[in-house]
Amino acid sequence: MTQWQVTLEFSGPLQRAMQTRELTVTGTGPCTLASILAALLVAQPRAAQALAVSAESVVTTLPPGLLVLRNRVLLPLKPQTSVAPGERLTLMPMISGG
Amino acid sequence: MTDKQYSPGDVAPSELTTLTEEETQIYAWQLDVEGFGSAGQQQLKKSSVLISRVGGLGSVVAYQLAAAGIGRLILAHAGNVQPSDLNRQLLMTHDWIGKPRIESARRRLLELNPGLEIVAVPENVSPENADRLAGLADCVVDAAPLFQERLALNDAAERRGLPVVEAAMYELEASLTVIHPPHTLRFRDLVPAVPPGWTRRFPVFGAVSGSVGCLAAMETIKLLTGLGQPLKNRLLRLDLRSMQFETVSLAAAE
Repeated sequence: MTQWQVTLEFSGPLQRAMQTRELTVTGTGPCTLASILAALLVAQPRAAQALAVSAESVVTTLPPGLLVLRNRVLLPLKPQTSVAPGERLTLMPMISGG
Repeated sequence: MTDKQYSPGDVAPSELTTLTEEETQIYAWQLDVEGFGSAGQQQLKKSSVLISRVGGLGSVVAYQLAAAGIGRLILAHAGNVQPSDLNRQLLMTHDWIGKPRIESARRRLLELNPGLEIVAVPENVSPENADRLAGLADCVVDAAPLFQERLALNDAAERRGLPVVEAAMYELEASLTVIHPPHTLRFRDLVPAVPPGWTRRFPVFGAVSGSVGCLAAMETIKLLTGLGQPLKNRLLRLDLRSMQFETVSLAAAE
């Protein structure tokens, strides 16, 4: 199985919950949004609470309101969206402060 | 008095769109803006904007639109002024603590622009009133603190084909975009359901909500008058901690 790594940058309340600005996660097999988020939950369990997801749930449904950006472009918000190994993504939860 | 209490079905827009001599004096400096001029000013004068909540963000939007000469504002905001409103909600005043927020907002706006028509709604936007309120407006500004309100407002605006200026902030970060299906993504494409982690109380400086409020007011003016390029299919991210501002493309997710 091919191993991959992806660097994740966090914004807004997610950055606050994660207590870090970025994190590199690794995994094997297809590199998709689902597998990246699942790897994040393994690497940093507090992400599960911050995103209100589980490793099982992200396989079929991404967290509502979580935008995933690559080079300042929104990725299709689907679990099966492919990502190239070595890429850098921004996880940006939509915010609602008025 | 040109302001009035909200009554369902009240949709009459301002009739008089020519500029008076006094208005020409008041708006003289913005009439010089290229691509705006008298036509833009008259368009603002005959336009109606619904603002969902006039808190830290929406209060500044309302104030800037009132200053710019918008014809009518429909303001939706429930509750009474609380001490904790006063760090950011610039239409609320200390002497109004315990009294309706919507009245404080109306009072302050009319001090600035007595010719402004205000429809003051002492309710927050909900699935029950969203269609009725959106039906009064040409454009909508979403400045509510709860995703439930944002979803209800966007659903109603989409049904009526209205553009929504989506402005939000959290701590020292903010975001701004324009939602106007089918020309843009739907809000539900970005937020299909209420994110479970969001809470009613959020960390905020008034200077942050005010910053994005000014930008949201400018987007509203652009949408109403055809000035410039509104943030359609683009989202502006502002990080005031690092002072990094960037525009994100939303087109790829369509």
